[in-house]
Amino acid sequence: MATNSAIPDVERKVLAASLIFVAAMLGLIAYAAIRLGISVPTCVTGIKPFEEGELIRVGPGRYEAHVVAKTWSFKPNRIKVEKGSVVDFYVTSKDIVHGFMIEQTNVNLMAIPGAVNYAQARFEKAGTHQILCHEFCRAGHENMMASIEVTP
Amino acid sequence: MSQSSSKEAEFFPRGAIAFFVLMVAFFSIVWMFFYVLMIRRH
Amino acid sequence: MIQKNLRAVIVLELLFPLTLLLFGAYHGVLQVLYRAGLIQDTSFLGIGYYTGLTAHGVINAIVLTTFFGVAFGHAVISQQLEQSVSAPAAKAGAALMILGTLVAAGPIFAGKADVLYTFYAPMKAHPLFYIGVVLLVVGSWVSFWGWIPGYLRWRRNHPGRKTPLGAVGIFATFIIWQMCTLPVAYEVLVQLIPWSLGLTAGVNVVLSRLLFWFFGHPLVYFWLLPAYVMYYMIMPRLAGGKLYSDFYARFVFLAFIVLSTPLGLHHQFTEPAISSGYKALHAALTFLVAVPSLLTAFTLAASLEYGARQNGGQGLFAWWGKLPYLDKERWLFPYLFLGLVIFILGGITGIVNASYSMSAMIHNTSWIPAHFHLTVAGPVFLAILGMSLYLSVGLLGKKIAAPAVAVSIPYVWTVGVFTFSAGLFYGGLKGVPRRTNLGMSYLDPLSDAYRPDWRIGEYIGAVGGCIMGLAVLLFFYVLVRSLASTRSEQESDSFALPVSEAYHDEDIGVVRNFRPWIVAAVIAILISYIPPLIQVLGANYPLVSE
Repeated sequence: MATNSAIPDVERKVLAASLIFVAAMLGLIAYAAIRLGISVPTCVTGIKPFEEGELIRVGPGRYEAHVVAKTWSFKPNRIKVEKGSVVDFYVTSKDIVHGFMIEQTNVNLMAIPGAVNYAQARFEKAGTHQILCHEFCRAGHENMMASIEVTP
Repeated sequence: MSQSSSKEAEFFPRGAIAFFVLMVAFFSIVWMFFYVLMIRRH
Repeated sequence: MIQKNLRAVIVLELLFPLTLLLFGAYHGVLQVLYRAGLIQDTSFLGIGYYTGLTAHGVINAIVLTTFFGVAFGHAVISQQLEQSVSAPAAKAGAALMILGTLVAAGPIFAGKADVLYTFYAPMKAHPLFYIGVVLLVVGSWVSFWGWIPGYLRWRRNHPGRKTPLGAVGIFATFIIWQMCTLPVAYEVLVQLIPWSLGLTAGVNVVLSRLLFWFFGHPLVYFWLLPAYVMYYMIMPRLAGGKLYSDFYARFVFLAFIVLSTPLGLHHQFTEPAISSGYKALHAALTFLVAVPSLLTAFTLAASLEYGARQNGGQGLFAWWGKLPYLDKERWLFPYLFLGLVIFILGGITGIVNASYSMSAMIHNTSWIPAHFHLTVAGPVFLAILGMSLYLSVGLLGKKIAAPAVAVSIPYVWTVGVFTFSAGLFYGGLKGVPRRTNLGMSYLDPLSDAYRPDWRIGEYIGAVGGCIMGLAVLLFFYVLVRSLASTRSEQESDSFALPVSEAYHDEDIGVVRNFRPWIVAAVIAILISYIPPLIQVLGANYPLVSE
């Protein structure tokens, strides 16, 4: 018989191998989320939408930053914390959609008008981290930045 | 379907299997690199 | 044979967007020059950076891909389902699509729709931009509807016969398209157009994004599946081989109907207002949709291997050498083959993007365009270029000009896009943002924000982008010269797309019917999207305007 009308068995095995491959990656991601606490932004309740940006010192080495993104600035623009601080970032926008990315951290958020986003970062080393907007927001987008200074 | 006289044994795609194994191995290495990077940046 | 009364429509639908591609590609090259800081300005030759970026995205990723899907669909359906395409529907569809494109192009080139191809609210564009997009999409629907009566008739006239594979693939493409364009139609018609006309106070931005990305992911399968049709239906024949398994080819197309849509949240991992639990579900489904593509890689390799061994290919790997890489007679082959090579990297970087918490490393950095230039500007674009040339030359009875150049274009493109993406992947991991005119700040040595360590990624990207531009110029050279050659009515009448035989030609009931797969798709969408939709609607986000 030149052509076979039976499903080739090897394809079934390739399908199984593919499913195992993706399941393995999903398993590792689940492990990172559940055991190591590495996850993605979720819906935050319990914080009222804020109009003004401010840095609130909650305790020694503990801060809450309310960040308001607006064309084309972040408020507060310069955040100063001491080495070893843990900062809860709450981020929103006053006008259109902006991005909020803090270099050398895992904080990478979208700032959306009407909603509040949240991420936490711990600043172990002294130095300055740049914050920038990475979602197009018209003319001054390429100059929309802020910074976090971590003092020794 | 027409029958060709030169086809005696069933074609078994061992070359495709070798390619697929290499491709998935490559994917695994690349993905693990980023997984480890993510953990380290946390 | 392709219906005679569709010839003009198909050729028009191929050549109209290709003409626009001249602008789209020009703006692509300009992008890399701005980003490398070689142009340090907000505009060049009268067109702003973000205007150009909008034109680049809309022309290349929306207009070109939609027109091509319809045109190629007309060709495949009419050839495989016995000339049953409704020509009036095809013409009406083409008219709407062309009108829509022109209507949207006006505000774009006038700088009144600098919103990029994602048009995120509450950045407002001129109402004609949104109206043009609606007309383009409705035109594609009408073109699709014109295939349905003929298909149903064909099924009635051929009970027991399998629907030809190419037609199955095209229908899968457009079933996905029909389903996923509905939420974005709601976003545009109900939320955006009234607001842009001043009839409403603002937009529920969170809802608009949920609706857009409901559409935004299956959009990429709308782009990709016509290329898959070529890979399964045409490529094995070009290589002298056979499609290894007809059943698995059908299974893949039908699986995409189910799995293409219920996972759009992976584009929204870093957004507020949606629970991480729902995002996790979508991440898991995204991993599942990788499976049909992994299967495709194997099936296509097996199909090529069959052909290569027929040509004397030996060994475990040496047989790869027996494929028609530089054969001027089969010049279409490298457009398809190299697209798949590019897609290997496009695929793994896509899997990284889907990997939930990994998004913090790469979201909205230059990594993202690096990824999607290895997918939409890889397999999809090369398939569009190759098949547009093949179809327009064939339908018009012309001869391909400079076949040596024609066969080399995908190689030039591959070098270019790999170089481009290498630079932007590297930069992205260092934090270089996308959608940003870097030359005005981060790559301006006189700016306080200057980042010298970001130069290398963008310089490499610029080299790649220029090579891609060169490939496009070579393509237009071949296209124009071919279309200018003398026409042969006989060649035109006898032209048909090559169709591969199947090695395993199985007849399995579950892949012989669209209905169960469409039902499964709807169920999957309901499960994955109703909870986040309820969450978003329940939170009553305010109407916002810019």
